[in-house]
Amino acid sequence: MEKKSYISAYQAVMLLFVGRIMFSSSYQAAIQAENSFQDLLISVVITFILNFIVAIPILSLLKRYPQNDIIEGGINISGRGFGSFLAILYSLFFIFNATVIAGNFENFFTATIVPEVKAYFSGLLLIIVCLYGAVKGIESIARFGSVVAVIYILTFILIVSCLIQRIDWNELRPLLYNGPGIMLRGVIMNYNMSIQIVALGILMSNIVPGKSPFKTFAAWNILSTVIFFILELMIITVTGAYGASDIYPVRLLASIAQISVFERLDILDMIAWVLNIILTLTLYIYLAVACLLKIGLNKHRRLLIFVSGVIVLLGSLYFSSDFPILQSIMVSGYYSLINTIFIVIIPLVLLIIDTVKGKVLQNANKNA
Amino acid sequence: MPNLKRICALAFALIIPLSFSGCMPYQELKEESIVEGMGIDYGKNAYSVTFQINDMQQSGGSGKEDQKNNKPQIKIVQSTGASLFEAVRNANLQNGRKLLFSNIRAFVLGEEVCKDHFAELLDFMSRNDQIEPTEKILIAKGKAADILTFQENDEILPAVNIEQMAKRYIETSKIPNSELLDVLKCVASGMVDPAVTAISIENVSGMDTLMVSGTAVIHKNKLAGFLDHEQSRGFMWITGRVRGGTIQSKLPKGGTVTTEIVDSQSKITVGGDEKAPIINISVKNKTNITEFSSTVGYVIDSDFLDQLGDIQAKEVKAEIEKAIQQALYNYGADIFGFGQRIYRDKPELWRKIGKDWDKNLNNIQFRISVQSDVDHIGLTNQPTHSAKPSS
Repeated sequence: MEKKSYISAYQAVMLLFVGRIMFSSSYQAAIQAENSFQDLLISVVITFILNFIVAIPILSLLKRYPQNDIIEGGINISGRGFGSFLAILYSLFFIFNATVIAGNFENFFTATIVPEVKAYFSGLLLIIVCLYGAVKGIESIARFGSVVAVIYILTFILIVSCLIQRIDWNELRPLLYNGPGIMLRGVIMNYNMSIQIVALGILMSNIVPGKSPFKTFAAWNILSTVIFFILELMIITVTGAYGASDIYPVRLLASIAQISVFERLDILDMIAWVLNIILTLTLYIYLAVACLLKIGLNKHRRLLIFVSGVIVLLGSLYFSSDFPILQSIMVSGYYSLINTIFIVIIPLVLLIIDTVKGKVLQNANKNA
Repeated sequence: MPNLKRICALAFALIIPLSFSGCMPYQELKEESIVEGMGIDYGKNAYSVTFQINDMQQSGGSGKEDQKNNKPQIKIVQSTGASLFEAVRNANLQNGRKLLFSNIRAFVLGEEVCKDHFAELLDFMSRNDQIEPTEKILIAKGKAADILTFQENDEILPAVNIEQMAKRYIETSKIPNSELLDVLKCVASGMVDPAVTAISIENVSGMDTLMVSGTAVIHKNKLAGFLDHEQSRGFMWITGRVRGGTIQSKLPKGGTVTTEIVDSQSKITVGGDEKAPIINISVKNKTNITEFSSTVGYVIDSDFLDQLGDIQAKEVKAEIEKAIQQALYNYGADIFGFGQRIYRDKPELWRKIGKDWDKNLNNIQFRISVQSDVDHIGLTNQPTHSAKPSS
């Protein structure tokens, strides 16, 4: 039997933190916030609270079945058949999200970094690196994640400190002046970017025994919210209403930041961004395959990773060629519904089945 | 298997350094034209662009004379096109090398192009990934091409000099510091009209001189007009951007005191109602005496400084009133952000008057208060010329 790999709770938090923080702002242009840009600050706070609420079913399930993840919990509760069905569903969920991320990367790469390169070439290079990471396993991914998180946080500190003098508080206009529409769209976007809750649900069986799922989740949620709130505040107060329509507002911030003779810091932001893309994509491909391994496909691990990579590459090419779709997905209510199924409904159903089964068993014992 | 792993690891280790050996796709510097300044004009239904290009091949010093002088060689390339992008691309027909925009020092926009196509220019600039949001943007009184081809001592004045002129706004506070991002923010907000540094060729002492000459006022994405230096500083006082400069105060008994502005703050508050909105502008500044020209025997004591402060305050107030008169009443442009201030401080009032802001601008009452304090007097407490002859 293959030795199970473990990562620390700190590594898990860092892995999930960078995954959420880096992409959130990339989709806000689709909200078309304009002069209601500042309403997105409320969205960040609301999503922080919302995440605690929607995570209750997953966290309860993980608490009830310590050292198990959602799939293993599902198999324990509802049997191998339904468990296998869940594993395939969650696997597809991660593959879809990896596809969207890869599509975003290809678009950014060909629009901003190297316009001459074809999307399939940049996508292929990315997928090769990510497949290598996924094959190496969760310990390697977690170590890489800690490095990326440190690079990202240092870049973040540098950009923020360079831009403090450019903050214009006049850009913070009255909240909800044009109604709650923009704020609600912001909540949808931020909620859609919080799928790391599901990732935590799958990763939990790989976190060293004895760690509280709630504390790990809370650390991720607090860290992500604080950093993202500051980032959003900087985008709003430095770039004003113009930043609301910029597709890569963090890059915009970085390109304004000047330090000494370096006239722009967007190269640092790009390094952190690309590393983050590699990390998150690798993690999602790893998790997609990890779900399938729970149902006895261990022998085909490498083949599954390869097939997942091919699917992600093909899907990403579709998304990168249709950028408006890529943008609108993350602010779509339908996508929120899908996420809710995976974050809330499935774990909730499992909990209900488990509770009912427990009571039936209790009654049977009493009767006996 | 272990051998295969080693071979793979070795191959990977070799591939990685190779992939980092240069940017993809690499471009030889000699194959690129580094654009230092870009001027845009419009006429005869076509855009006309003028590029100041740092000619690397010439300044690289194939000629020994150039190496000795160590001067950048400026090459001018001009082209036209139905759209701005087409005009830019058409430059390749005569240049032959790819234009690189990431080192642009200044954008100079012609007066005509800003009257009808200001929004299109901004759109082009904001979409281009090579153009930094912190680039200096200036509007020419006349043609941008004349500015970028202006010659001083038989040499074209490089765009970097234009950038430096615009950057030195803090020395006088008589021009705004306009970066591309500032203009984009104003346009995107729809509440503040952009104020852009103006540049022109002026005749100074019988000689043509290139100089930054006040502020270009944009209203509804069109150039509405210009503010002179005095009006521009009025704008700077109101928006709290004065960082330096001088004030000349004429004393009632004769004589002139020149002071250096060392600190300035402004505060705008909103009062009144929808029928008569009131904007309170409060400006505080501090100055140091740098020059005192008088034949009258003054002694600089606290009474004198109070009196001088009052005179300065009147000067500042006059500049503020002139700026409001020209920008707000003559051009109908709210470059000061009064609308945004009302929106921020009294959203309900803005809801009532914001829709017809252009009309309601005329109903605003201004209450301007200026407090000017003199901090330091220098190393003497009298004007140098005032000593009475000994009897």
